[in-house]
Amino acid sequence: MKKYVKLYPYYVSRSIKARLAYRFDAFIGIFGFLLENGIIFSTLYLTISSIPALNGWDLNMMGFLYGYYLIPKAIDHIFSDQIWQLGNGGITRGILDKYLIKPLNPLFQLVAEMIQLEGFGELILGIIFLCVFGSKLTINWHFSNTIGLLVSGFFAIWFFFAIKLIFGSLSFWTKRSIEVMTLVYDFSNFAKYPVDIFSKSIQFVLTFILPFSVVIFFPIRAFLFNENMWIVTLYVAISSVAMFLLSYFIWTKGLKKYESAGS
Amino acid sequence: MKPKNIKKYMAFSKAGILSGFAYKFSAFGWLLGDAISLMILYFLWKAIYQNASSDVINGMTFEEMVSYLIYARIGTTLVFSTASFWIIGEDIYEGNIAISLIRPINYRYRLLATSFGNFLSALILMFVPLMSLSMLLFHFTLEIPIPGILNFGWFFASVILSFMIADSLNFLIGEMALFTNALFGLMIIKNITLSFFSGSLLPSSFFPNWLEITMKFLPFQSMIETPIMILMGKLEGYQLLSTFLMQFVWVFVLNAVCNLSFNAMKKRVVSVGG
Repeated sequence: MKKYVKLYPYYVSRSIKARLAYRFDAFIGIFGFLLENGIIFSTLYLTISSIPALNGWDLNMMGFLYGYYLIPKAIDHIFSDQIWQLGNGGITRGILDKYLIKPLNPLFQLVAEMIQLEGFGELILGIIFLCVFGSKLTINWHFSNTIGLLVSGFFAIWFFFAIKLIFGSLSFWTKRSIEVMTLVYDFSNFAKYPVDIFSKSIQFVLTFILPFSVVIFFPIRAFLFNENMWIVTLYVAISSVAMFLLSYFIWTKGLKKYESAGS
Repeated sequence: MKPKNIKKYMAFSKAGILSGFAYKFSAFGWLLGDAISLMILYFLWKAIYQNASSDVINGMTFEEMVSYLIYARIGTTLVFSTASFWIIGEDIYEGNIAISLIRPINYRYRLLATSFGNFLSALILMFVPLMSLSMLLFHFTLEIPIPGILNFGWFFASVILSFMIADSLNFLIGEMALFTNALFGLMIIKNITLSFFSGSLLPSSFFPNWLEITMKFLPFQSMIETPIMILMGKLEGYQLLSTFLMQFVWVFVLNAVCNLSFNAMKKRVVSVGG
């Protein structure tokens, strides 16, 4: 464990240096993600501004929810973007070969290899949204509520990570899974809206099968409507930890099946 | 152009069709992802119309809004099927552009011809099946009338012009690869701005006033909103004529800008001496 803590900063600094060799390119990437989310939110903003409130959620609340949604997603994006390579034909290219010959956990090496600066675009926007829309709302900034929200956010990062790892690891069997991975990852978009606007079957999926709404939407609802924050935090923790354990299990199973590209 | 010249470019269109067909499975995979966003859109708009005080928001009923958004999404697969951005971007990045410049054909028209091939394959593989499916679905669930044959005729005429506008814009943005290698980031910026301003995310009547007026003087709306509105029969007579005129003007203006900027760019290209 101590070894990993010591090694991680080296991995990080190496990766950042590599990216910053092309400063302008890094900037374009960060700006791209910032702009993309900015425009998607503007669309939502223009849509909702044509009505007073969406099932009791007004513009500021929706903005706050969007901001919160962006932050765990962005942090996961920054630290574990390399997992997409598993689904994107990485298994057939044999990208894991170099990790397996080193005396370190291969998953650690895979994740630590790249810091995706583009995620900062989403992170910056998320923080801006929380500040802007948070200041317009009358929020009870209880100490315990705020801590609860932070803890939920922390677990949500692991949830995003686990979803990617589960469907990325499918590639060990199917060789390519990026389409499925994208599909499932896109389900996170449902969490940007109040869950009760969707049909019952979709609500069921978002609560029990791919609990994106549990992880993102429930904490914000509890936070804004003064419900019991810690019960929700418990739900978030349970879903994230369960998802993470499942993903690690599938990853280890798959790794045993891994064959080198043999070149 | 002389008939002999057209034949030369036809070969590239053919290659474009074939490459479009080669990637059909991954295209369907991405489409599946689009199904999610369409589902979200449907429920979001349903909730919005339930929360609204009247049945009509910014001149559109719920049925019109849903069909607009879904037609627009399907139309996007057609209009933005152009591959010019990637071809020019990668040619500059890898230095292949040097070889292209010594060939006795116009590079810009070569790319347009290739993209037209992609357009045709997108038409057959994606547009026709999806459009028929969604029209039948709308007809039987939401009781939206199927557009008439005349509307389809005008729509196809308009969509080809839209495609040429989109191709020119892609070409122009692709030329920026001269300054940066971040093609992926550039693509994200390009895709999101084009789809927002072209009205594929939201019709321009929802834009704030100043933006709606500004958009009238820019080429973006001609790409998605114009053909879809024509398909839905929202434009008639004089209006129809003036939008077509607008599209023609943009096709010519952007084409000229492409040729001018490409000629200027040629002088700046630094290529590996292969």
